[in-house]
Amino acid sequence: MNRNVSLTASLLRAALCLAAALLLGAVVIAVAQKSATAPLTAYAALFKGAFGSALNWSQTLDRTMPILLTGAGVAVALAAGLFNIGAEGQLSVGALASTVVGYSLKGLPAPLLLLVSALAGMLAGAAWAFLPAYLKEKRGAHEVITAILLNYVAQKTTRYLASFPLKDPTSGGVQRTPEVLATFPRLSPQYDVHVGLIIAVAVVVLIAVLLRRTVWGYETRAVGEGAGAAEAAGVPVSRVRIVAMLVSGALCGLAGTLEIFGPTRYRFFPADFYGAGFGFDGLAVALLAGGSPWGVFPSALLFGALGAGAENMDFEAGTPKQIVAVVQALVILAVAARFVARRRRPAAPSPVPEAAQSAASGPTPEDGP
Amino acid sequence: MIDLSDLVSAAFRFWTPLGFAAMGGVVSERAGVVNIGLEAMMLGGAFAGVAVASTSGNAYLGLAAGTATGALIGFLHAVLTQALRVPHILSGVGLNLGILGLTTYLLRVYFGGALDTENKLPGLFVTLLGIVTVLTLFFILARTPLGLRLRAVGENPAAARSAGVNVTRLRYSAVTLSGALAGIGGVALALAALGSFRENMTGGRGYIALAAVIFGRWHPLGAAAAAFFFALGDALQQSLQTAGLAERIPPDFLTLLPYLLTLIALAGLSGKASAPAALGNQEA
Repeated sequence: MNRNVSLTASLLRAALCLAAALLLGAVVIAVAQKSATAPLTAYAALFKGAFGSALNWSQTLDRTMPILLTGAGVAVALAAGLFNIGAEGQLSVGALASTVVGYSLKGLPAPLLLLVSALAGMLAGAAWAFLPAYLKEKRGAHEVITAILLNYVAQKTTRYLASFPLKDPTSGGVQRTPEVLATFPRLSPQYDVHVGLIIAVAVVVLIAVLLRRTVWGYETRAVGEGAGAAEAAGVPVSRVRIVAMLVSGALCGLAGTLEIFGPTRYRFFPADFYGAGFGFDGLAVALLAGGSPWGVFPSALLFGALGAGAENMDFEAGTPKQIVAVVQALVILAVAARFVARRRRPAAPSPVPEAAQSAASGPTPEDGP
Repeated sequence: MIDLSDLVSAAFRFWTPLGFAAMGGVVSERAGVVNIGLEAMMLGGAFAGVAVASTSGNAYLGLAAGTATGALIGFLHAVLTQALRVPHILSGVGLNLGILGLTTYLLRVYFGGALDTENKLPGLFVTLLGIVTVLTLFFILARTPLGLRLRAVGENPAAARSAGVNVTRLRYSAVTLSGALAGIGGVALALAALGSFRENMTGGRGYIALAAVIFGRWHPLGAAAAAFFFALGDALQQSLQTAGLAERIPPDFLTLLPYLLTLIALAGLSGKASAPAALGNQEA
């Protein structure tokens, strides 16, 4: 089958889904705010907040950075037929672990400290992702439910740790950790977007290449396309799935690290860390990208822009930013929906790998009817 | 000191929303449709319930509105999974994200971010309604032809269809009813004890209810008992806080308890033998 045709088709499909989601979002705004012009004002402010100036661009790119990595992380798991809904928890745990390393290891040169902190973040993210993977493979517990519960456990545990045992003793009543000892340099002195963006881009490219060109990538995709066939061909399915989740968790943990070690955060401050939803954005990014790591680039930029623009929309147009979550949800649903008649066109591009559908669909992931 | 009767009454109060949502989960999953969207259905029901009770001045109208809203979200889940063949988990995740955004958006547009009402539902009434619902569902599933058909649709839809059951219609009905029940759960949470709605006030109770369904092996009585177990954890955590331990044990540590209990329960539950055989299948 011609790859260019299917690429164009999936791009067109993604664009249509986005347009439909924005349109439905506009209808909600118009009805709720009882004004036909409110959606226009809101979306104009959204667009301005995302791309209106160099500063807006830098905010968009700054938001794109972590969701490039969480998006790629979810995409890797999806390639193996798993739905990593635990990205949010893996990101928080990675963020806190790297922070602790980043403020405790005194006397290290900055580049080395950043490297060690990033490794700690990736390790913590991977460890957190290991739990649902292990419970699924060994105990038959549904990975989606356990990962969701682990998201709550991660949030509450990291908040507790950062507020009490790891609290900065000099910050008085404010519950946050001490500052890390080094941060990534800004790409340009006026803007907050930093070297972490380059790292994120490089890592996603690396993942995309590995997934396409190595034995690991081949096995991962084989399991995703059909666990039964992969098993029969001698692929160790259970191990491949666990490794995919570990890689996925490591990418999410790295996202948390890059987020913390920027020039604006430089410490783990629970009160403003959660709610950004970088992990959940990653789910939407990966799904919109159709599970392809290359597709993660435009898709992450889009969600970065939506996130950055939403703040301005809220502030300037007075439209609550949560409407963006509605648009994101509509994108997820539209991408996953199949509007064509049942089995009429078997070659229609599927937005989600077939195995991910059955793997993501119930405690007994048996294939077929 | 922890007062035992306070603990038990708190456990029942926490059980009611979870119990309703868990019954919703049982109905949907026994018909073969994974329902992780219980969270959205609870949250939507809670918002509509409080909004209508506060604007109309009648808590029972709030209950009706919450039920209807839950049912509507349930119907959407049915359309997405059955007609549009969205994988069940994705549909649920999308609904959860979208309804969380929508309720917060509407809360801010219409109520300035906080919604409170004096028109509450009597807690005892709601809890009794919950118990009656559990028993009724148990009876319908185990003893009636309708229950048999529903179970058949979840176990072997092809066979059910050849026996003359309208699989599609039964699934639509079951998932819509599931939404209605979860919607009542949301109303029970928001309108019985508190009389208020806040952003994301369900806070994952829909997921815990679904875990109770799995832990209770897809059986109404089992799921209700599992939900009570989790509610007891919640009640215990609350009693410990009010007993003055909050200064020594930070609240995050205590609110962790129900999630951790649920996780341990799921991890300890080995095997997947008792799930409906056709649960989550796209094609029927």
